[in-house]
Amino acid sequence: MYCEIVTFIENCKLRIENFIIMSKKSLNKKPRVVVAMSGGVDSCVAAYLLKKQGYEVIGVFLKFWTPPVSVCGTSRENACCDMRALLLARQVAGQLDIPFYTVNVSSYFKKEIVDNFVHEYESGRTPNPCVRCNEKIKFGVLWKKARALGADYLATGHYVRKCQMSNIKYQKKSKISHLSFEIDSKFDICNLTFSLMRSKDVNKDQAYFLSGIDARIIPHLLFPLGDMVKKDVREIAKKAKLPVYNKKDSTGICFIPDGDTSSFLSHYSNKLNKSGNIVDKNGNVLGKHKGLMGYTVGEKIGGEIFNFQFSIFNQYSIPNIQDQKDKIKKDVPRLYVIRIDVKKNRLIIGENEDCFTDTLIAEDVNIIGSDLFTKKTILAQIRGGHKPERCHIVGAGISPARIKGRPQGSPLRVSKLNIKFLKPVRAVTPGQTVAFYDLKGKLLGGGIIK
Amino acid sequence: MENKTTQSGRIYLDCSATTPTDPRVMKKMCEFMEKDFGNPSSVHAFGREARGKIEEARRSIAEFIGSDDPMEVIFTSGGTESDNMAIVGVVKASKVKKPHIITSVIEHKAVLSTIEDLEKRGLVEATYLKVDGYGKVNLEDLKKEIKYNTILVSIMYVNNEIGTVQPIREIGKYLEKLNDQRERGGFPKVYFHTDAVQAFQYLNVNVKHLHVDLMSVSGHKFYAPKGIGLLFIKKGTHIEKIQIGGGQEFGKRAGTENTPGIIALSAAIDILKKEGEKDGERIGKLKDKLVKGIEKIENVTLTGHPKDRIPSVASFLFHGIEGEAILINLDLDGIAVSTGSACSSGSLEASHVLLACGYDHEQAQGNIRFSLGRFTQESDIKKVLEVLPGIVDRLREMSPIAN
Repeated sequence: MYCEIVTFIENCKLRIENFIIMSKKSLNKKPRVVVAMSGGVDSCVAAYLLKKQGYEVIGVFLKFWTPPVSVCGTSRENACCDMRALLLARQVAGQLDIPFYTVNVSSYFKKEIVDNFVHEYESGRTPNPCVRCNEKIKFGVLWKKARALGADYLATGHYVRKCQMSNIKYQKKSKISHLSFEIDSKFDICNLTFSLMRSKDVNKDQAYFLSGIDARIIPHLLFPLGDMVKKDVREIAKKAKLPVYNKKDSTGICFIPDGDTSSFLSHYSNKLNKSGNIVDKNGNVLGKHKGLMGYTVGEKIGGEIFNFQFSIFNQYSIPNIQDQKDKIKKDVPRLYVIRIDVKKNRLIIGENEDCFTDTLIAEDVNIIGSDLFTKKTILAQIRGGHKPERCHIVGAGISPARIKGRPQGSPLRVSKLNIKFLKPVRAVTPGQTVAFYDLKGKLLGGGIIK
Repeated sequence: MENKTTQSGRIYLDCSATTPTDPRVMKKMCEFMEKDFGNPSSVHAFGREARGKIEEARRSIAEFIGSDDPMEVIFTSGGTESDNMAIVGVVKASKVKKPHIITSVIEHKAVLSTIEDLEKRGLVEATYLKVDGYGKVNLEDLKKEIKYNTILVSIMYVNNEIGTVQPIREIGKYLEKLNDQRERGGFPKVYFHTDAVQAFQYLNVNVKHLHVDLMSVSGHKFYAPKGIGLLFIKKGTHIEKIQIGGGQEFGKRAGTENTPGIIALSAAIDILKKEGEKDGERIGKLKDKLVKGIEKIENVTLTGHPKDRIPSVASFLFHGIEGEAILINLDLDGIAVSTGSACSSGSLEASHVLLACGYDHEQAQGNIRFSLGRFTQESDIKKVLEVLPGIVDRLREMSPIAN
């Protein structure tokens, strides 16, 4: 009952807000939009386009957390929000004649993103901090700030499209045909009217990285670059004389500017720096690792084992090799991490086919599209660059406590989804985000791989 | 006179940060720049003319601050340089092995960071006096902290964030008496420095009245341009220069004088002489109106001392909301104010001044400072009182969809 009332109130609020936005439009008052400006070409062009489209645009620069110089070993600051980026963003804002503010989220960023990143690695998982940053920071804290500024919309330079959701009415206690679990109508996914769609530029598509955000704010989001390709964006920036038109794309993790994840981790954690065994899937010791920090499932393993017992190669049916080191290197089958066993401090490796599996368990699944449970075949993307593969949902768990006790205004989530792929996929990596789409590329949700 | 602070409908209520240059000051400065570009150190006529003008300015300024000797006025680039010069200069000149400095926790960063830096380098010991809930330093606390190796007390005249006036005259008189005794006992003299940057245009800045040895002043806080200020150095004060080069400013501050700045500073002070008092009264009345209006909003606290405060500053805590959000909303409505707890300035911490006054982090977050000036109009205050309650209400009522 309580939940229903809450849902009702939230719906009313949304409608009233939409009404206000509409009436503002009709009164010729420009809708106000906050643009997250990182000083990169994408967000600058996003701001430029919105301004041209007649919005009242406000630029906001988020100051993230940066490791001290002593840690990253270089004098470079956090790659995407160093001083130069701030100055560039400010310069562009000046050029577009829009108000511009800096919001320092560094301590929250450290707590929510960096500490979690380290903790995940300590648990033998490989986190995706960018997905989490979008959920907690860009579409969390910044959305709050934007609302405090009376903004109707929040915009970013992400390559993703906003799309209308087909209006599915879940029956009360509706049973989803092919699944053996029930969805309660209190579970207000039927109110999700908007979803996100993969971008036109397949190479730049960033829907995956937004799979964790609260779906209820999507009506308030704008993605001016969703229908563009990167080349065009640069072209627009060049034509508009934005000084960022030829700025390099940012890659990697912004708080590890030198890209050396394991040295970063060893600085912030002393849990996994003990050396241990590298074993095959039968438990045979193949070599030594210097600490489990920074290994990822699916990663190729090289030198660690060559300097160790050569005899072990016999099990890969290599002839006696004592005097032909070079030849072995060539002939040894390529070996990959298939599991990270933190408890026993072991790295389990195997051959390429050992990396394949057709099942996956997603935890803490965020629901974005209302038809996540109605489509029989959906697509799952298991890492940033991965091409989504067909799969079925074969089971789901909604922990009742979670839903009953769901505080007002919390995002829509289910605790667990069991996925079966139609074809085996390579390197299902615990800790990474899995994003779900329908066959047309509409984002339905995302969770963390168990 | 054109109201420069409401250009294009905008309202400027951040006069503690900086003031617009008075058109009369600008006129004097431009006239000077057209004719007297000479280097005052040059021997020829160009130099002599410039020299004449700046020494005239020095005399007039010295008179205003109650100094008998114009050589006690050293022109600097502004408040920060003056503070640095006073502190580092006195420490450099001191014969004490490890000198001790007393200051307060609510000083401007130009003083605090300088002393902290010296402390970190092991060059001095430092004591930071606490303040009461109004942000006021207690003379009795100061008395207890003075040691045999104390060489400098640096207390600001008026705090820039909350506007509280410090008992400078009382401290000055006490130290003067104390120094007589110390001299007889063979102890080093305790110099007294005050940062009078925020006080200069509203309070008595007569150095004899205040009994100070060193006093920092910054021009752009009273309608002169940025980049000019002065340090009053009482005759006989042992101080070494920190900017080294030529022999300008009686060997105390090297570098060619900022002649247009000096002329502007003197022109701004001339206006203060004539209009300062009247200005203060008018601004005080406007501020009272503002305070009255804002206090009608629920859950608002006016910070600072109820009586001992300058007329221009009213700093509030809006409980339950972030000052930064108010600031940006006001800015979007064309009203310029500031917050002591600015995330946007790069430091996430709440204002050290408000924390020192005993407010907690959350309370201090809701800080907004209004600082009025010569060009503030009654209509400006009206507009603020029209706009502000709505913003505060909206921010307080706001319940984000995404929690």
